Amino acid sequence: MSLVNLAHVCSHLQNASLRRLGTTSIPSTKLHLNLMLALQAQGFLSSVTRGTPNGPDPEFTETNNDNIAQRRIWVGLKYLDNEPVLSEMGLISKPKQRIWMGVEDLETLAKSRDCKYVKGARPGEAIFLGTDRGIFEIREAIERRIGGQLLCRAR
Amino acid sequence: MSISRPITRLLRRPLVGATSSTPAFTTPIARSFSSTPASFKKPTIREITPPLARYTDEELAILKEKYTPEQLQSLLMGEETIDHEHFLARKGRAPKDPYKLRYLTDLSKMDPVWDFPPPEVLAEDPHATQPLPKTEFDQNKYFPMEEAGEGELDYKELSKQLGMPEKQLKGLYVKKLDMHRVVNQTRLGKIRKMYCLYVAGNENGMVGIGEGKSSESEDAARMAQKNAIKNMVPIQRYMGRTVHGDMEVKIGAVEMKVMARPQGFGVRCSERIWEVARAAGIKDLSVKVTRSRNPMNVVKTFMYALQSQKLPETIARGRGIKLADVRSAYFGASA
Repeated sequence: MSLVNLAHVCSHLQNASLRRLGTTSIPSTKLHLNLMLALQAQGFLSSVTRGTPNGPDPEFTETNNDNIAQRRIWVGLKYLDNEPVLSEMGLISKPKQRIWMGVEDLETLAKSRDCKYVKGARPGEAIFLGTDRGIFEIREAIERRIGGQLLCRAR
Repeated sequence: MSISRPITRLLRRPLVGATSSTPAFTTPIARSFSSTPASFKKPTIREITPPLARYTDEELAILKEKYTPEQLQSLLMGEETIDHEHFLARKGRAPKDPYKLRYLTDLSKMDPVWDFPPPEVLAEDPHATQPLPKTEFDQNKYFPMEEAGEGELDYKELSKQLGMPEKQLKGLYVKKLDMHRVVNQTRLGKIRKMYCLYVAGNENGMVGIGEGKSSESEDAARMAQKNAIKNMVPIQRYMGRTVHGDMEVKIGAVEMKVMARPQGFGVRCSERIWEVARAAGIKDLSVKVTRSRNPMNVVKTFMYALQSQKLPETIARGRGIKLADVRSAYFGASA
């Protein structure tokens, strides 16, 4: 679980939104894919597709040892009134300091209160967690009563 | 009637009596309730002196209405076990209310003072009917507006330009925020002017800032006021009192944290931001300016912060999800 690459993805999505790009691509990893799907479920992205650096796959292509270096994840960005829906995205856990939290602390964060040096979720902000059961948004994790590693926040 | 009463008497009586060695309950000292024949009973003092009547016939009649004959009989028999002195000195048990008043008022009796309305006092106020002194100034008479003087806004002209009633224009909160001298260096020499910054707002969600520059400070002030009123824009407030969530804003060298605060917190920030917040009608707010504190730039940055708020409704529409404000959904508060 490389947080360095995740940080690059966060910055890239911010930059792409600032440039008002319709679609953009990120390196293909399981973590990135799951996080992008979680972002899409939260309504930040319009589409998540596998592809190559040239563009999304027109049809299903299996990832194998021959093409694995050429795999990318293509995501569609959303805009409303020429304003990006995903305007801010950044890491919470850092490569040097990873942060795990239990449900009680997550509840505090979800109530917009600071907890363990982590800023509380602002109105409309989504915090994503890596758990042993996959990647969840903070409210989903609280609903399932599971804690995990705080990955990133998006707004 | 307490059930423990006869038992305590049972235990207490032998101490008073002579036989201390015998256990208290071997001989029935207290009067038994059953219809035991009188010959079996030990002679007691009560039997020697005739029992005193505890209730009058009238009272008994009332009790009969309330209780069945069996109940009344058992009650009376129970009460007979109580000493006559104790019975006469009986009191109602005060309810265990720690906050009740420290006195007992007998409301069954009429109070000569409190239970009657006060007598009517005839109003004898000599000033009430005194006619008002006649003055030259008649409030109802219409006076045409005078021409705008020096340093004063021409409201009539402004009203025409903005399409806003003159009365409304005069009711705006207009305040000077900054005024200083500026110099332009040309080949002819230095040209000195006065710069002025004003804020205007209706204290209810409309606010604007205006700048004016002129060689005369009065002209600069007038221009700034006019521009401030012209630049008024609606800003979003949460529940009409604070901002939507915390913000960190940066324009140039000015960086500030604008923080939403709970109801009744007040506006805690530097003076110029306070003026802008007042003009906008923001009541609860906290602002921390972290870098440059240049007055003009601080005011402009704060205005930018107010206008660049991300509304929950916009976020929900962009993400295609439903955001519910618990306060309004469950407690009916207006957002």
